[in-house]
Amino acid sequence: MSIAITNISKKFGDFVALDNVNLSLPTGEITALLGPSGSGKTTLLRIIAGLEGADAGAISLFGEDASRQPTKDRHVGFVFQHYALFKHMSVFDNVAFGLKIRPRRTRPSKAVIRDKVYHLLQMVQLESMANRLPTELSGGQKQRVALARALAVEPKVLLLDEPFGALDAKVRQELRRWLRFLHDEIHLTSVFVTHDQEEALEVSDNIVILNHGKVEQIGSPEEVYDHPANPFVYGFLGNVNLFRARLDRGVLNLDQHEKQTGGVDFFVRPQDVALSLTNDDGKGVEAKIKAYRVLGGRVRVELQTLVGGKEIEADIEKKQWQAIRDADREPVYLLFRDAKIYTAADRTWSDYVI
Amino acid sequence: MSKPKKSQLPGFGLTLGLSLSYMSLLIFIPLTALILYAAKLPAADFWEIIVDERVKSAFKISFLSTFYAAAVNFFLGLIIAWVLVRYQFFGKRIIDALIDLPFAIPTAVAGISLSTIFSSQGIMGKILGVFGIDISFSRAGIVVALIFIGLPFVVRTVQPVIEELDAELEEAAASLGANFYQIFVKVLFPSLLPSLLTGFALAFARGLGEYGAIIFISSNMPYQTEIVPLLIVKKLAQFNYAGASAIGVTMLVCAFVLLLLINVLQVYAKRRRKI
Repeated sequence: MSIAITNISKKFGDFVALDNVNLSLPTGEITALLGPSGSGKTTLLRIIAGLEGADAGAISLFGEDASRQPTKDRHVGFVFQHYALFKHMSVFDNVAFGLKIRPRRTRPSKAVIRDKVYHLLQMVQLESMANRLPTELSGGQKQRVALARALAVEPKVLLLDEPFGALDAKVRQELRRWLRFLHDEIHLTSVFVTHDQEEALEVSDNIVILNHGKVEQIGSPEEVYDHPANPFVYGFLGNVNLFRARLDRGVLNLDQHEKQTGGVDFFVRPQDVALSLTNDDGKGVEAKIKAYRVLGGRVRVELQTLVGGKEIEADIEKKQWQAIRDADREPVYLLFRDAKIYTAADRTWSDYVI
Repeated sequence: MSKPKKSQLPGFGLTLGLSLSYMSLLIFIPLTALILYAAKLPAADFWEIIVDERVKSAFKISFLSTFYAAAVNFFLGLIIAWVLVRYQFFGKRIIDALIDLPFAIPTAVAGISLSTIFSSQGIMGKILGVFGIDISFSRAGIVVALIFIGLPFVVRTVQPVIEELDAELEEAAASLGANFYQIFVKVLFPSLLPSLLTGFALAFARGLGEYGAIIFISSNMPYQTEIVPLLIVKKLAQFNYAGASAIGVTMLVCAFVLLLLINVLQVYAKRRRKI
């Protein structure tokens, strides 16, 4: 294990940022720290880098206790959301900075530094920009310079704090793919912080989900998406319809209020809600359409069940939506293709099968 | 042909007009009067006044002392501003408030206090006397007085810039292996340089015109510790208005050229390196 985090706690005044966090992050993989704002993910990353001190607990990097090491001795590369490039230095000098400041006996020669910087700039596709100043670059280019700068010192660990957060959607998409590609080339142990579940699912090998300073779940993207440990994780990884219902001998009964006993929490993702005009097998739930919004090739439909009045969101294909709209019939029938039931008492999930 | 586009921001004519009238009343008209007065002198006479040995040495003393004092303030002001922004300590607010005192107290009072403590009987004078250093009534005394007068200019121009420094730049440098001195010299100092130069220029300009504080701490000996403003006052006392205005105009031109130079340097520091 390259990074071992044991019993880390951190408070800012009365606010608990991290509450006894234990984690070990595997070597050579990208781990995403995912959570809503205020979940402590950035604080944890900064503690790994030594930019923040923990109130309690220990950090070890590659088996060596780093808890008391200052940042400069930890050999971690850090990439900031807002790039933090040195504005008075050219792109070349920014990337060369970490090498140029080494004490004379470990500092590479000028020619070696030059070769290395150009090699890195080539890797981030910016060789032609070596003499530019940071102000003359776009956001995506700046972030690639920041990445090259962090890689120049050959860090043992690469830490990225919401690296794509300040970029527009298209550039973000590009850079994500590119980061994944780059990682597959160099296999550097990397940790990145994000609040975007899609980004975490796309880029990482491992996802650590944090909430209120605690780890909610650790696992591969597939694991956490398909087998969320609890309702928070389920809700955080994508949209979800959540409502209280009752099961009468396996049959869903929506006539159930929050306060009534005997109910269960019912989870279904919008893309797992099917709409039908007919109720052939009698298992559909009657609902009326309240609103809809066309999102490119898909349509998000807001519905309300006739029994119980539950608000349900469905995400369906445009063609299917057109057929339903053209028929203009009420009610429509909802079918839950893949729903999960969470029993809070024993914290277990079960599948609801129609 | 269409008319040239008007600026989107309203009030340009009014504000520029006000600025120009104000500047005229306060600066241009008095200065023009001074220059016109000096221009009454035949060029040869003007030249004779300026190249007089006593005048030349007064210029040398004024400009050199002011330069030394501003240079000391450049570094001391930076350190004080840094301490006031970056560290938390008991009495910080009081020290922060004390910085502005040289602005507020009459410079003559400052001069008298400084000359008292630095005289051979004063507390500082006694200590320095052990090492054979005599500040009072010497050129060093002039520099001490000017350091006192100029300090707030550097501190107050650099302080807000230090407050605005982006902490992430320091963190980025630290993650790349830089120690504190490398971070300061290579990352922070370049960002502070333009404001430091502004502070230097202000302290320098203020120091050139200083009179009250210096005449008390200096022995005011011609050729040795006599500054230009004092020389002008002496000429005036002898009703030599032409001589006084000639020296005044020369001082004005020299100061303007120097300030312009600092300004150019500052623009250069701001634009930084560009290939």
